[in-house]
Amino acid sequence: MKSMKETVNIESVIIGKCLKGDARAQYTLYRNYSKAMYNIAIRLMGNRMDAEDVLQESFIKAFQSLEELKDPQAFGGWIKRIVINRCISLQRKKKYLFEEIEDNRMEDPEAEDDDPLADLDPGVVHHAIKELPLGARTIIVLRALEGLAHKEIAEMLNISVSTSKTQYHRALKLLKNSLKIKFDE
Amino acid sequence: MEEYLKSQKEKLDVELPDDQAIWEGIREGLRKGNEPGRMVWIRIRNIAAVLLIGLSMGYLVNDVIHKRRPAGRMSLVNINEDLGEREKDYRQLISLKEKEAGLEENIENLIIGEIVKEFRKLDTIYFQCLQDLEEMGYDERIINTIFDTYEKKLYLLELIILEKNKIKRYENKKEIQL
Repeated sequence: MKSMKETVNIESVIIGKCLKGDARAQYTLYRNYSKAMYNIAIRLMGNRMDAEDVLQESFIKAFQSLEELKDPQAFGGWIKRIVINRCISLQRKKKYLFEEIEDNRMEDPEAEDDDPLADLDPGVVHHAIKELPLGARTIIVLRALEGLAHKEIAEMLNISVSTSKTQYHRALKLLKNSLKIKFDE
Repeated sequence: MEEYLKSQKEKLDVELPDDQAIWEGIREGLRKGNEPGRMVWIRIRNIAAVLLIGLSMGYLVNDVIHKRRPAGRMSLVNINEDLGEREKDYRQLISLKEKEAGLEENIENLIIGEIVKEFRKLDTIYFQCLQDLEEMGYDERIINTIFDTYEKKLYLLELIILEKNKIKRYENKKEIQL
């Protein structure tokens, strides 16, 4: 099994080749990240067509501006930022407005702590995230899955930091309720 | 819930993209973006479009200021019948001389070739004169230039005929000597 250091070194070599316009290296780099980036995009956009557009445009932009990437080892984080920014930009372009979640849409939070989360199928959770309202799924993806700070999320979505925090907790509850309904079915 | 999402993050990636189609789109996008000088051509095209619009606007404003109107498809017969008749005579004569000079034939002789080139240049002057008449209306100097081109055409056609006859005579002489 390749060590982490080896993987990073191989990736630096691939990126070096990509900079010279090597199509095979570009394809290798694309395949290394396509699945992860596609899943981020589809969770944010909620549909396959938009997610595929985002993935395509993001890699075109990445290959065209690869020279700007100072540290080749940071490619993963860099492409993820491009994908997220493209998704937010496309959401705005398509007038998918950030919709705040109201508290009355959720069940009593006290009852939630006993739910057996460990047994949940990740596939079911993934689809449950996709089915959430735009605001809720965006904030869950950005905060819980991609680890962005509330300050960054607030700037990205043009909301306040406190709104980001509140909406995040509400979104988590909404997701949990949605899963509970699926579980009960 | 938060802990679950963080710990299961990678397992949540359950969907697969259509890699083949997306990769083809990426290659196409990169190819378009890397076309040599594409941006330069786009800029040149934009500048040319702006200049063309500016030029058209300039002509339009100039015509409005000078209340100039195009005279329609100009022909000398439209100006007066005498001029029309004169032009008709010239054209008939030139047509006959053209046939005699064999302008349609393949010209191999260098001197004749040069004369024919000069003859064709007169066509350009003639069409320019007609265009000027259309844009500016009747002008004595333009009419004179038109007839001057007819005269020069006839002169050049005569030169071609003389040169061809000279070649023929030389070839006949050669045959007799043989």
